[in-house]
Amino acid sequence: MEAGKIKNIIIIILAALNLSFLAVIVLDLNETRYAEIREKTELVSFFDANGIYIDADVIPGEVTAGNFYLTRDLSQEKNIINVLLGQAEPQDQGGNIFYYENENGSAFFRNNGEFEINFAHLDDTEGAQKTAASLLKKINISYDDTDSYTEEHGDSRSISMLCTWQNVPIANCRLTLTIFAGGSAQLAGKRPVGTPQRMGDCDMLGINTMLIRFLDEIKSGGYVCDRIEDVDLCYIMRSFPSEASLEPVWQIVTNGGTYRVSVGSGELLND
Amino acid sequence: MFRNKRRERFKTVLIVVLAVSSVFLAGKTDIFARLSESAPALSYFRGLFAGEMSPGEASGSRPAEGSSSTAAESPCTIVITNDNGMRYGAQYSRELTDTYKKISNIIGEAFGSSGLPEESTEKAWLNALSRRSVYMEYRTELPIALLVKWFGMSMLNRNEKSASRFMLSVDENDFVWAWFSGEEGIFKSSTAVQESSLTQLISEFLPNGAYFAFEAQRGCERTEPYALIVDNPEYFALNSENIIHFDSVREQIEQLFGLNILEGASYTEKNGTVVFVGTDGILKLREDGVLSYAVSGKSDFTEGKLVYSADEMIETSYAMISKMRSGREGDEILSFSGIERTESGGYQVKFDYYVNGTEIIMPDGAASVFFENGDVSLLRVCMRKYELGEECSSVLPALQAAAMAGGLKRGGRPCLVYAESGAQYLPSWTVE
Repeated sequence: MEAGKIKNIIIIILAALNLSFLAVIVLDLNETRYAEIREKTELVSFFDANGIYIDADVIPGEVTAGNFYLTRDLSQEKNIINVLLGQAEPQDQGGNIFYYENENGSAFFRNNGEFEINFAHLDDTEGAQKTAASLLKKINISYDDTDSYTEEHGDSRSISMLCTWQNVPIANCRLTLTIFAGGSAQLAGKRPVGTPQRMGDCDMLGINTMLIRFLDEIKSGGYVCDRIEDVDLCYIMRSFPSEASLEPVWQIVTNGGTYRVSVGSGELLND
Repeated sequence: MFRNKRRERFKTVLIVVLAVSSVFLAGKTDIFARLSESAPALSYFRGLFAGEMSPGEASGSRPAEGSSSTAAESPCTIVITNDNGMRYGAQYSRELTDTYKKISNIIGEAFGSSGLPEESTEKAWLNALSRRSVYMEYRTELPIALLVKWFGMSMLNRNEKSASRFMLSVDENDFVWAWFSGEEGIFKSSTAVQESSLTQLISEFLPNGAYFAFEAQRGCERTEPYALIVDNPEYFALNSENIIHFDSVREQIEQLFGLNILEGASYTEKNGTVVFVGTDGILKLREDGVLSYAVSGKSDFTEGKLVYSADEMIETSYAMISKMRSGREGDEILSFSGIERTESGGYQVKFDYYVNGTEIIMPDGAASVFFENGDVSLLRVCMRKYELGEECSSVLPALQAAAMAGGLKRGGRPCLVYAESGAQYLPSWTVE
């Protein structure tokens, strides 16, 4: 048989193989999608039977989350000061609290990520929101711009932003930029103490199991809630003397308050 | 002809593309999963196409859990008091370890940044204890500087005082004070801790009905006032086993000690103790897992540096024994329990094993390290591991134990310990 004809046969066989694999994948995806929709519908009905309304759109799909650890990076802190205030040497205040001061302002950094930078003068011609965004960009802190809010207290205005890591909010790392009437300002709050290093994936309960466990906890804890408004993954930064960790948790927003739930056990967390 | 050649070349390229794409699409289905069950080598390919993390992707070598401080001793009691004076207490439970981890950062920051201590009174101490506070108690008196060092923190105003009780408390002006109490008296120091940080930490602990003996309505009048009364939901028995196995003991000893054991220089005593004679010392291993090593010249344990201060002896001993047991532990932790002078003028540093804050009673303790003239002269370690077994339901409630302790001895304190009972260790109350 000619080589050309053999090639034609091979091409036809391979094309048919590709099409059949594609068909299997598409059927699989459809089946998974329908199963998800079915499960969500059943979950919504189950919650409804227990007096809590939850929109199916609010229920997230199955996700994976990583475990991260961080070590405090003193050179990163010094770099922040260099960028925002200029040259200044750290002064050890004991308890791993470091203080910086120069003609442009002062700052201190704590072991658990809390910090405060006081600017003698801050250029605010672009407005608080843009000024804050520009400052955070300069010091490589990413934040969730959908979760920021502004406040006014007398002559001062402040804007508050939530830090993120890989686009996932870190729920207990919030920064506030306050601009005072005389032109001075303060950037304060809690930031990740270093660059997170991934340690692997976290063992997570399935979404449905987690939500049912949450329902159990709500009922047994006597909490008041009849509507779940949002379910999102976020991180909590936990600080220890010589390291910190980013722990993934589910944040469930209800009309009775916001709750955090362990991704592994579904237990309600107190922080 | 030229067009035929081009067509054939195109067909070849198309065949290669279709072949690669079919392998890729097959990987996205379950075909490789089923094949890899019968041919494990194929599981690599399945992982590759399924987008699983390759082994090299998880980066960094994270410090082992628990090494967040190098503390040779952990507190035996922690009490967190909220704004309403209600308390969360942890002792003799896994919660003790978890709570200690959560509070260690702020405790280290407070005592590290503390100002010069000023003497205070019992009344002021009790007042502080009734406010928003974090309190912890150790079994032994510890130098504050050593405590701060264990937390890996710097200390602004080093003081030479020691204490067994430590507390952070918020006063009426929202200022955080560091308190400590021991044989030298009661002292307090200013700190650089922010009230908001301490309040945030306190809010993470829900009150669990814990209280001190001095707060009991009745029955504990003769009990040591700071005995904590809190009931745990469960207590467990302990199982134990030797971690040095006699069939490979020579290799393990050589690995542990780097001993140059003379060929043929080992024998077994009548009581079953195996003795190894090395060029630098004599090692004995008993059947119950107790290992002793008598140094005959200079030991390598202090790495050539002579060790004279109590802090250094504790840290050197703890590091040495932890290294010997590393990778062989069960649920127990090693904890410093005291330092004494020996008859020959040296020092004996003692350790005990604890599981969930509960001491395992042993005739000679878990370990002892003897120092003479700045160097290790004798080392004795119980090379056993202990693991939690089945639940025990026969433990007396804490309030009754406290009342009993006061009844047996004025100022007596109930103390939960693990004592040997046949093949297991069971929890029971004793009086200190």
